[in-house]
Amino acid sequence: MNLILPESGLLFWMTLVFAIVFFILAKFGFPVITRSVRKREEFIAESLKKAEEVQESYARMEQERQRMLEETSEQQSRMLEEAREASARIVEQARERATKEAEQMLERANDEIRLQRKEAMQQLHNTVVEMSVAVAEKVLRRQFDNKDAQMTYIEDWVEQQQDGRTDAS
Amino acid sequence: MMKRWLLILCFVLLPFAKADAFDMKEYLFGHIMDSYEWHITTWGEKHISIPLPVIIVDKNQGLSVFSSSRLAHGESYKGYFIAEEGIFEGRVVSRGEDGELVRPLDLSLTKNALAIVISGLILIWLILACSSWYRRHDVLKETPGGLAAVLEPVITMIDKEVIKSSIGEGYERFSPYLLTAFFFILINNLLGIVPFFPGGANVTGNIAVTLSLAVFTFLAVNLFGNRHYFKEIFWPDVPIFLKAIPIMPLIEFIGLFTKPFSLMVRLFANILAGHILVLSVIAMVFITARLGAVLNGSLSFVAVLFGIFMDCLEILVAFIQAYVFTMLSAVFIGMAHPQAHK
Repeated sequence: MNLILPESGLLFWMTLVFAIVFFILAKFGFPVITRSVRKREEFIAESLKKAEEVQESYARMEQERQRMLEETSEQQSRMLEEAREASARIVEQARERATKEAEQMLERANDEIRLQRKEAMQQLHNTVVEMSVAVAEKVLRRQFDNKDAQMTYIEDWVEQQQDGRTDAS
Repeated sequence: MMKRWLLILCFVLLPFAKADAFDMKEYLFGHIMDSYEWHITTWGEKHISIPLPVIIVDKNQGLSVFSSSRLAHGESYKGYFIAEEGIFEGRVVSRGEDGELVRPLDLSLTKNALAIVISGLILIWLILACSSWYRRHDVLKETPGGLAAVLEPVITMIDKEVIKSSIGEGYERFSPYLLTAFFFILINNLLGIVPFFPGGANVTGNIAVTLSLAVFTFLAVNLFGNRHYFKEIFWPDVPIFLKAIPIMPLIEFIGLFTKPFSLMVRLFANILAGHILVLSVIAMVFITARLGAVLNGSLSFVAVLFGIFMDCLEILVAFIQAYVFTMLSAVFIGMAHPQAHK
């Protein structure tokens, strides 16, 4: 049966044609295609990797930013707090100092007043003593028979003295 | 709707079915065997066929090239004629000095040879057209269009899923051969299903074609096999008594040839069987032609339905066989490149 016996002529043609087809396609056909496809695959894989890296670094940056933001707001609130405290302290201090100063001034004024009063009292005392002496002198110089006249005189004199003093001052 | 059209088709075709005795053997072998002319159709009594060149190399007459039409209907030319019977049936022979038939070296461009040339040209055109797209475009910026878009997934699939996964490292070296083999087988399988010129030749169902392909695979496997591969064959890791009398080396050595042999037979038998099945189903139309219009019509209808089914199956088989041949070739090549194990 010819069916299962390879025919030499066809074998020749088949081998020849296949060899030529193989030669042409292996030289100009398939390698171009497969190389391009592999190149693209590599490119895609690389791009994917790169994209992932970028995403990762972006996420890292985002985290960093978030952290910095939090830190800043914390710092801000801390600073605000500090400032408030400082201002309160300053106000407190100022008030204290003012109070103290006022007290001191008051005390000094009191002292002054006390001193002046003491001086005035001293002066008054001296004056009274002088006046008493003067009155006594005048009284002694006059007669003591007329009691009413004496009193009137003293009073006049005191008045006189007083007027003179007011005039003098 | 489809069924009605088929039915109408059957009845329209009926008058063309010859009512005289149907020669199943001639019908079947006429379709699956190689021939010196390309028979297109028979219109009434007239045979329409393309004559092909007959190329004969003989000791006496040297090279002679002539048209196959000179040998039609039992005629002889320069002492050559087509044998009617015997072991050389259907082949060009001449009569020797003592009267017996002698077969000269026959390099005729037969129907199958021409089909191979045509499919080879189609294949070259397809792949070069595809590859020219890649030459002209930047593959990183554009997606392939046209032919490249159709062929790229197939090429990529074979290249990656079959060749790369079977051979592993260094597969790039073999991928052009395996891709050529795949597309060559596929295109011939598919053209074999097309019932008219330039299809219809039973190329991959011819043992000479599959033998040639198997030899190519054999060469691809054994010419590039590495040290470990040949050591495994001639000095395998088995107890010494299996090597002293070389049982294992012998088995391994035979194995070298059985692998491509199985490739040859598998492709041949599958495609041949597919052709015979389709032809047999369609033959029902002609066989029943003498049984009356009703029986013939109804059976023709069934035959056409079955024929459609078988053709769809054959399209599947065309792909599967090309795939299997490529995959097994790749596996054999991969086996010839074992990494130094242990």
